[in-house]
Amino acid sequence: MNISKSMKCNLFAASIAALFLAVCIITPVHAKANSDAVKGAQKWADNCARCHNMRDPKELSDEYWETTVNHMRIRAGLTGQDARDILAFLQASNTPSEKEIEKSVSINQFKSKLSGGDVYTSSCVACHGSDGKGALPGTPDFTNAKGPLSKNDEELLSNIINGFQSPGSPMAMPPRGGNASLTDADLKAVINYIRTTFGK
Amino acid sequence: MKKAKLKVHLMALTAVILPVAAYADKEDDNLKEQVDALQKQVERLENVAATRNTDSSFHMAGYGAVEYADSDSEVGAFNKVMVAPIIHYTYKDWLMFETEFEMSNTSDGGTELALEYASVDLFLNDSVALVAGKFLSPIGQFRQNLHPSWINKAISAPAGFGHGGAAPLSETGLQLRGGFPIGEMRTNYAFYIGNGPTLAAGVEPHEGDYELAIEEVETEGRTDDPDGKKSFGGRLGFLPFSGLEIGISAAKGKATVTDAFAGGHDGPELDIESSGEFDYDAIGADFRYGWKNLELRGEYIKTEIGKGSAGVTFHSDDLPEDYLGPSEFDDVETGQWKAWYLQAAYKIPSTSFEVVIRTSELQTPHFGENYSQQTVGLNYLFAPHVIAKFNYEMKDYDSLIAGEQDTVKLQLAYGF
Repeated sequence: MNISKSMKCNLFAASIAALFLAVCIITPVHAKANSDAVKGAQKWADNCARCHNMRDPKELSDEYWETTVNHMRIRAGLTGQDARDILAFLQASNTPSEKEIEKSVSINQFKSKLSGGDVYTSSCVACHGSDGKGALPGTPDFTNAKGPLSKNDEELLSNIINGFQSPGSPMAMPPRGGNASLTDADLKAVINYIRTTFGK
Repeated sequence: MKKAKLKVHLMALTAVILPVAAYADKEDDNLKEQVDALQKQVERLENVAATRNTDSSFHMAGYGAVEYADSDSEVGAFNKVMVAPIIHYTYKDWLMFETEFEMSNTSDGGTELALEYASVDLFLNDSVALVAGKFLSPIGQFRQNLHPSWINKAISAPAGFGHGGAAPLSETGLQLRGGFPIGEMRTNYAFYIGNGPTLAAGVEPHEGDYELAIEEVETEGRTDDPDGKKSFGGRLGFLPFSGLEIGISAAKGKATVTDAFAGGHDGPELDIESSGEFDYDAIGADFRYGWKNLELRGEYIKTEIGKGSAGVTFHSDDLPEDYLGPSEFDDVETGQWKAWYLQAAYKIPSTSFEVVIRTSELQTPHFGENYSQQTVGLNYLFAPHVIAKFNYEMKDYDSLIAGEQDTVKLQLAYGF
């Protein structure tokens, strides 16, 4: 049977359409409505810079981030799970710092249940990189003798708790690195980890 | 005596209690005021929360830019003011309407308005979204994701990636978009079916005779389909590891001549009676690699108009008086439009400055329209989305008439 070139093209297009319809049918709608802000930080770092400069989470309210992340899901070809995780990170990172809400006592002082390495891997590595030199443009270099580690622990802890705008960086680090569940003890542990791993 | 003592004690006790009671009353008043203020604050927050407890959500984004250009051939002028508002309207978590329209001023003080895209997006599941309406062409990356002024690292589009170039602009139809992981690698995709492009042709004198040549592939998404056959295509993107994205694109369809001019776009228009169907094919490839403060990006696109099923005929009784060519052409000159660019951007550490270098080239079937473009730029980031750009742009045409053009450009771009 002779099939014309045009017919072949149409069959090809119809096959692709059929394949995707099949995917739609067999994949549960909105599979799991869960979200993970920690994974979201890494996905945010991996995806947003594919096209544009990283936008500061504090630029928009939680509600506006919802519509904006939906728009970015279409533009960047993100999965629904990627979009939910990134949204969770952005919404966790745009909350006011404890200084701004005049919280006189910082959140709990309990002993950290996480190692400094665990905290760094889950909440810091997306922007600061596994080598501490910064994975995103403008992120300060921990290995630089005049960099952030030239400050004392008290100042570093305050900067991490409240968020910090590094000179020359296009955006600020969010309070607690965007992970509100980290305790002060966790942050002290990660400062110790950063000093011993990257400090000179 | 005992009675007198008791009286004294009672008086002393009263003297102590009265000020304390007065002080306590005052404290009570303060506390009451504080509680009242807190109650009002809670009510206000509850109202705010109640207004957010809705199924729909609205957000306006967009971008705007102001430009100044001074070139060899034209007097320096503030040559562009534009704003492109983008409206997002979502319903629950499964539907979004989004539209962008671009408004810009013209050299004579007028205003141009264009609908860049308007689509209803249905999130079918975690991996698939159906986009219906007018959407930016998913062929390549620059047109669909990089052209907004606050995203584009340079001021101009690369050669061949603007209007009338090699890269398709937009499409009207249906599109499936989304992403899915393959093991550790992430991928994204976009496939569409739409009305497809049309063609603009020009009649030119050629070796003592006349020829009809395809001047331009018109790829702005339209709401009719003169050839009656749908075009389809898409892009597949692969992200093997963080920082690297590689994409391949292709499109296929048919196109007919819908606009014709005697002697190019500035000549009198010729009224078309019939046109054959011409093969339309586009292929593209793109990459992006980011490492710390450095970003490298490149893209290639080729659009080809192939053999037609028939020639083109004009309404013979409606030809311009000064038109001397024939009203019927059995053969039409077709061809290929090719464009590519390479771009490097480096953000200088501990500063807000970014250096940009870009080289690009457009090749068309027409002498005088081919050119290469080199751009050197310095950007200052007031914020990630507020950027001042300084560009020195060098264009080199294949025609001596256009020759070389050097332009100094300044732009203030704001993404909101």
